[in-house]
Amino acid sequence: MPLYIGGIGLIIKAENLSYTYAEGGPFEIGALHGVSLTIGKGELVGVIGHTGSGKSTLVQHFNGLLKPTAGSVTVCGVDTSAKRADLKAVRQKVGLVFQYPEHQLFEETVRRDIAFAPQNLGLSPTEIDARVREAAALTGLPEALLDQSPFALSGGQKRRAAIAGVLAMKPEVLVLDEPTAGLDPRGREEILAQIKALHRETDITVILVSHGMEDIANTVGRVFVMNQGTIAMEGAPLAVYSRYEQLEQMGLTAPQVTRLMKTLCGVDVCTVKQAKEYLLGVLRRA
Amino acid sequence: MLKDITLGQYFPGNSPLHRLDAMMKLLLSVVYLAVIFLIRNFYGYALLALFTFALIRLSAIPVKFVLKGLKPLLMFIAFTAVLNLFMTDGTVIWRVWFLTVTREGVAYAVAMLLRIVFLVLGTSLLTYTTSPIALTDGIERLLKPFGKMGLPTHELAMMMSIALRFIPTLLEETDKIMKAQTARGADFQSGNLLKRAKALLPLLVPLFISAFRRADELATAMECRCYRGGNNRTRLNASKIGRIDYFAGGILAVFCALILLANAA
Repeated sequence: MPLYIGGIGLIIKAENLSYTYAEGGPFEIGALHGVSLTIGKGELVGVIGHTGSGKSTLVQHFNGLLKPTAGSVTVCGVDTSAKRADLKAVRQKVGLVFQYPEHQLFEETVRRDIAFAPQNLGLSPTEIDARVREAAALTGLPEALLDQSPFALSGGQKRRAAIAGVLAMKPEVLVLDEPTAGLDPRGREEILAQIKALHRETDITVILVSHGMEDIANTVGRVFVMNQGTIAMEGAPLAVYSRYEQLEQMGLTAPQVTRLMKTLCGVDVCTVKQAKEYLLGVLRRA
Repeated sequence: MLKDITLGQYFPGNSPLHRLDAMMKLLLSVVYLAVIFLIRNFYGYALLALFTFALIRLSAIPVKFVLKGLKPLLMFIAFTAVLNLFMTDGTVIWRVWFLTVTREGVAYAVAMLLRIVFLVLGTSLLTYTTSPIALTDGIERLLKPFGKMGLPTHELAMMMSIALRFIPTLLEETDKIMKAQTARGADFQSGNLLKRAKALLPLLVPLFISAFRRADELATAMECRCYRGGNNRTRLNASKIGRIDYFAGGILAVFCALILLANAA
């Protein structure tokens, strides 16, 4: 089984993971049912699924915010459901960026907000300052914005500031839950390009959660498809998207270019770039 | 963390108790609560316990779930009972060091304990079987006579239903922000009082900002739909007092009569 590509070791492993919200109450909801997966060090993977498929619940297990109702999750060698698990260490190693992360901004200046996480780690002021600058540079926040109020920034800038606030912990794994939700097309492309660059330049493992199929296709190397709390498919984006009839049954739609090329030429592509290369090849042969 | 609060929660269902009209249920609950204070002897409490458990069975809500509503009040109940046990004057039956227990004290402590338990059970049964919307509707109808005296009943009821409507939303929001800050290394559970109060800042600032944003959005949405208060407003689902409500009233009347009889015994 080709489980991970280009990685040298395991960093996250879930075995038969199940999770139930409000167990025993009248509003009990099973969110995950027997999910097993492995993610290798340095991988860039995607998790897709429509609203309510369990994506967000799954990734909250990756840094110990939720503990499995049944099964187990091992992160960086730590079993998060063990009684004495050092969850603080796990949370520092796995940075989790929530949906609409700008809603968590609270400090008077962007600089101080980004410094919140490193401060909680108990680092020295010089180290904190260095990390703030580094995180701001990685997310493309101009130095001049650092002393402004985070509430005075634009939507895209707020999002970058919030992502920088997590990157300042220097996590080994970065999990982003819908990082492009509510952004305009340009803001989306910029954020995704930055995530790709970050993954290329550092040896960080990135897990990208989204229901934007195009976002995932252009960015990740491997993708998990979630449906009703289970993993329905797994593989390279191209292999997964070529089964788009099945995806549609799960309430997902393959990228437009995939459907177009399948209907017109009967080939599987998942990005516009691939479609362009194929069409140019056809033209050259003609 | 926040999932343990059961008091004031609605437990959906279709039992006779759920189907009672909200205004009638409110009135009957007030009568039930008043009757608790009329009871004078053991027979009365036995009757009350029987009646209350019959109601819980009728509501089809798990007994365990109803009793869970007592848990947060356990300390308060124990404190009241202990205070009454030692602080009442009367015939001394037991004395140790500076503590004295009197016959009257024992009786009073037990009565107090039973009263509080049944007060809580009765009121939680009301909120378990009535959705918040139905409850505020019932309150609005109860307050209607005061509207003629200038009380803005519709506005009060609207404010209450908005407040109730946003409790789960704010709880969810709190949970989400707490998780996000925990992911950034925030610690809400350790340290002394001052440290803990300070740790709440990263939670409260975003929570207030989002509450203000939501209020603003809600006001805009209401204006867009031409909301202008209660004048000439009619309901989509007008609730009416029907046979089942009179029947319930009759049962409670019989119960009251039995309690008064027991008092005479």
